[in-house]
Amino acid sequence: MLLLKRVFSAGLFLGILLAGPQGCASKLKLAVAGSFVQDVALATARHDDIDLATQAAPTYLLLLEGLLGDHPDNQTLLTATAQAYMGYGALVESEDPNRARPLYRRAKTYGLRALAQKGKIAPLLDAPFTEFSGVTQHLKAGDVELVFWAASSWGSWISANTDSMGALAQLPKVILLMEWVLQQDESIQFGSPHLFLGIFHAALPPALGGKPDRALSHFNRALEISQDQSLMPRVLMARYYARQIFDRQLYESLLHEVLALPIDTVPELTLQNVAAQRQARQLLKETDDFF
Amino acid sequence: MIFFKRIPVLSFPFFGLLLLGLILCHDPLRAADKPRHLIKLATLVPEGSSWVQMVRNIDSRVRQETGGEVGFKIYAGGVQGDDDVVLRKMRIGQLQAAGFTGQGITTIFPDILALEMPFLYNGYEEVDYVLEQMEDFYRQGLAQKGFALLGWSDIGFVHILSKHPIRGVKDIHKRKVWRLEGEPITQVLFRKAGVTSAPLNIPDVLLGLQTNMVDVVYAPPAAAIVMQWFTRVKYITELPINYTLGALLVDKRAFDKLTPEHRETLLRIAAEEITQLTDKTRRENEEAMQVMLANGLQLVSPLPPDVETFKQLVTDSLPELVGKSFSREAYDLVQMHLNAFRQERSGEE
Repeated sequence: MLLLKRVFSAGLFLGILLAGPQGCASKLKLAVAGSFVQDVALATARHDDIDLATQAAPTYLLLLEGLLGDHPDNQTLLTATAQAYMGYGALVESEDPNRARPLYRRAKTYGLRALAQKGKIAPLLDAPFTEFSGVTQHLKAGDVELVFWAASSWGSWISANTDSMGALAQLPKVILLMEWVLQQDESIQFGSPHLFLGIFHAALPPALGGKPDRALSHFNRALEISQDQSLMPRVLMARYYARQIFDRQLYESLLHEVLALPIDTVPELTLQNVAAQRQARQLLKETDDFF
Repeated sequence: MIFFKRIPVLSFPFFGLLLLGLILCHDPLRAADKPRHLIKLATLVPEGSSWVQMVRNIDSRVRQETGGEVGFKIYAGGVQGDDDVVLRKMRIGQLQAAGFTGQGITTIFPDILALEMPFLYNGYEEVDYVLEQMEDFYRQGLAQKGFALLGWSDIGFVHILSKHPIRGVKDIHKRKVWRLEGEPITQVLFRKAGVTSAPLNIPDVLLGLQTNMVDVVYAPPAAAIVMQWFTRVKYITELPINYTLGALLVDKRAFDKLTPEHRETLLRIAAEEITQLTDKTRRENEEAMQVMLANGLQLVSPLPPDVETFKQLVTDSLPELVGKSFSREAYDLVQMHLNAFRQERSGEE
């Protein structure tokens, strides 16, 4: 009852803001549902039961897509849907990588559709890289969330399709966008642009162009920004950086730290941190196989 | 229209990212009992790539068929160092096997270069025929250096990528041409052509293109995508220059410790898996070519007289390479098999 009341009042409030002078039922619906969707997302992020969150996610995804049916060009809604598909993809990926692929494809589709709402950017997305690299001229500081989620969902799709030359060829575009995000706001999502670029520079051995030094400074900066609130930076640093430089001690100490730290310093990171700890346990189990 | 201020993290900052060649697929490393003969294998090729996946397939099949007696431990992504370091570790027994790149196997046995001369083959049929006919020669040569050959890794035909169209030798004269540091064939070729080439290692080429230190490079299509070189050039020349390969080698001391049955099993399984992977690599290179064209690169088609200028350059360079960078015997054998293949073919037609 309390929840309904909150949804309703928040929705009404937003509805007034959104509807503006012309007033419109569909906008009111969007506002009400939008607020509800936000509550569900928050509740999910604060949950500590991954299995429950995984099972509940499809309903939430359908709700978002239902809303998109009425508002196909709503940038915020498109970004939220991209985020949700990415999140769900990440939840199912460790169990079933093949299941994650179509989810990441949808995440990418929605993420890029959100970006394409900026008229001058749409034709650049499929353009050759040299043309595409002019994209940042059409971006302004307020676009940083939009670009971050578009690049993240695009990157998640590439990471699930690295056996496709067509997908790999799009990676330089994602890197360019993420570097722009980093310049605008390095602290977005607890320093995630640093994690993204850290993984990128650690992905190849130096002999093939990898840059472990740059990877290290990105990971260190991500750790500084996220302090001990998000546990994911340590997991990713262990998995991608410590393994690449073959540093077993660093690998083990990062993962043990993940298991020792509290998961709910920031309530919205609870689910992510539970997932981080699960990964950390799995990675620790693999230590002897790897080193 | 911001009605969600921010959807908090249902979404995770991408758990698995990237890349090269390849994947970081999440296949967890398989924990298994330690086999009696554990072969530690290192390679520069990243985890999750189809090449590393192939080695994992070899590992699981060999474990199965030898009742767990023989197995691999795989160090991918260069974690044990580059080819030179891995070679040193093999010599002192820290590692027993490696997937070497072209650079690595050439250091071990320079006669490999005879397989990689420019304009040697007309297509993969000739490549496959020559590799098959030359197998004993290379198997014995590598054995003398202390290695057992499990098989070749197909890397593909190198193509010219450039900022200006390159049709023949005259087009590279005014250009800043990249050359792989320490690689003998291109060193001689470019000197003969009167071209000043810039020696760079692989990781420095992308920056070299970005800063215009070089404007002509060359690579197999898939490598040009994976290393992002294609983003800094405008043209690709429709002319396969030379075939390149790597090799999967096992330290002969470790190999000889296996029973004859186990050796046979390992060789057979490796050959089967490598054949499958070779088909895949070739498809990937074809796909990569199409992807680059779709990404705006223009295909430059040299006319036969242009091609002739490249071939002439190679012919002129032979005296400085054959018997020096690699043995005359290897060169003559390769030529003999190619001639035999072509004669048989022309007889059929």
